[in-house]
Amino acid sequence: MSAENPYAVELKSLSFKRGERDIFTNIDIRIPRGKVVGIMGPSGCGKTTLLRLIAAELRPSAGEVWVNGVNLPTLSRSELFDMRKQMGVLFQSGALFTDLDVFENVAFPLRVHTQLPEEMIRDIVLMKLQAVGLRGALELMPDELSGGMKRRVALARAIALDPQILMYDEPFVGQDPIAMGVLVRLIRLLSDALGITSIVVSHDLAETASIADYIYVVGDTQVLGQGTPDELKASEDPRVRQFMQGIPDGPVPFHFPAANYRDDLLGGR
Amino acid sequence: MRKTSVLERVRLFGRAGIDVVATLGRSTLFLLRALFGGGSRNGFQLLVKQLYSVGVMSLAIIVVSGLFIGMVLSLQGFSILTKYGSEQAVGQMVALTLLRELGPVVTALLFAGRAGSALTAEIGNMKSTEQLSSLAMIGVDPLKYIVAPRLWAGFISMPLLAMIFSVVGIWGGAMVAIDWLGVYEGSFWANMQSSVSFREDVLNGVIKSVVFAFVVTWIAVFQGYDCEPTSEGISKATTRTVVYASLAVLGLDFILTALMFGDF
Repeated sequence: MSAENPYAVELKSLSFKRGERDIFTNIDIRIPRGKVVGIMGPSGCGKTTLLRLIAAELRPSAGEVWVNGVNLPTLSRSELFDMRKQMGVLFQSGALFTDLDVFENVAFPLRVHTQLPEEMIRDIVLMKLQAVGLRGALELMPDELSGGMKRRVALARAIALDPQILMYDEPFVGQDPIAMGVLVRLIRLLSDALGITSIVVSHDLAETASIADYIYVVGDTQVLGQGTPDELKASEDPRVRQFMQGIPDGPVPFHFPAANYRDDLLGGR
Repeated sequence: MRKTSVLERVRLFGRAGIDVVATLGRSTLFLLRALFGGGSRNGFQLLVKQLYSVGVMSLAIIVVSGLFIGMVLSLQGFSILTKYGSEQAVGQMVALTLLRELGPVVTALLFAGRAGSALTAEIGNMKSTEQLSSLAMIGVDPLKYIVAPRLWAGFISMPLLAMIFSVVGIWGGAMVAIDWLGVYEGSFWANMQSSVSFREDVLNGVIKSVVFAFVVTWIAVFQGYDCEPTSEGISKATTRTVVYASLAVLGLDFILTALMFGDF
């Protein structure tokens, strides 16, 4: 089923509302299997919400979320938890378990989902930590790590079970240049070597463009543009150009919808 | 300040009603899923860990409070009963008060303050730091892994704590009555034995503490799981746990007492 489908993730006519506010209106996104796909857009446009929709942590107001050939909103709670073993998510905060040390955090998915012997779990954990450069930190507790280190441990945990789809929520924020370079290469390597489908939500243009095979630019409840990084850089669409060139105001408003500035200032008098 | 029209007030009242019903529905579904959604592989280990943090760690406050309440009961009982020349009945007064009322009720109130608030804050903090989301994304149901062991630990430990409270209270009462106030030891214990019925007093007290355990722990874990994932949200949820649980315990105590001991 999943092997025949060229797309690991497909969002079809998806809409999502938060209260009365539209976050997405009838969007279509297709993530090809084994590729690195960037989801980009200005802050607050719903990029992280999109990840949570793909992970079925949120239910869409309308539309379908297909992952590996399965429409997630139709699954029961237990089927959904089974399905999630095929996915990994790297949260922006890292979201490490604060009562477990680094080793146990990375070992956690292996302990709950496999019957592997302790020696093998140890070997796998060490390999994953070596990949993110933190093998030496295995005895530290999460509160002893910096923000960037936490996220790297979280990445090691996310790849512990070798998921088919890996989602990164702003992976480059707070990383020093060395860690950033390693991370960028690692995301690419995981995709090339293991065939993992990577979805990178970010607003770091240069880093995302350097590793992504394909990019979706979202904003204003819509997909504003899509294509390879070069296609998007050459795009004539004013909304895409505004984002790619970092122009503060244009067709995509910088300001959150508000009353007239002058009226607002004078309104209290 | 903006004036609220009558229609707006009716709308807000309706909205508040809908919110209450929705919260009741969510909390019931939450409870059913956590209790009957199946266990996790290392469920017993998780339960033991929670029994320690919820039950064993509450022992000190329960024992100390039980001791002082028993001692105070004995002092007060003695001063009242002496007026009627019935100071020998202080043993039965202390035992009945503790077994029927103060044991289950005070334990539940203390439990809500110590363990209940801690449960809410812990689960709320897990939510705000995305640890619950992270668990769910690893394919582990937080209701089975985080909530269920805490619920069961509360259900099991609170009745035991209530029994310990009553026993320590009776011991404290005996100490004051016999060693300090000079009540004859034989009549203190004999009166207590003859007037305390296992089914009427001990068992009813245990039933009360089982009901309180269920309600207090349910409120505590639900408030944590359902809170706004912010510092203010966690703080409000913790306060709600203590307030709702205390009110629920006192209200249910009246209903249970009326059912168990009311002659109608």
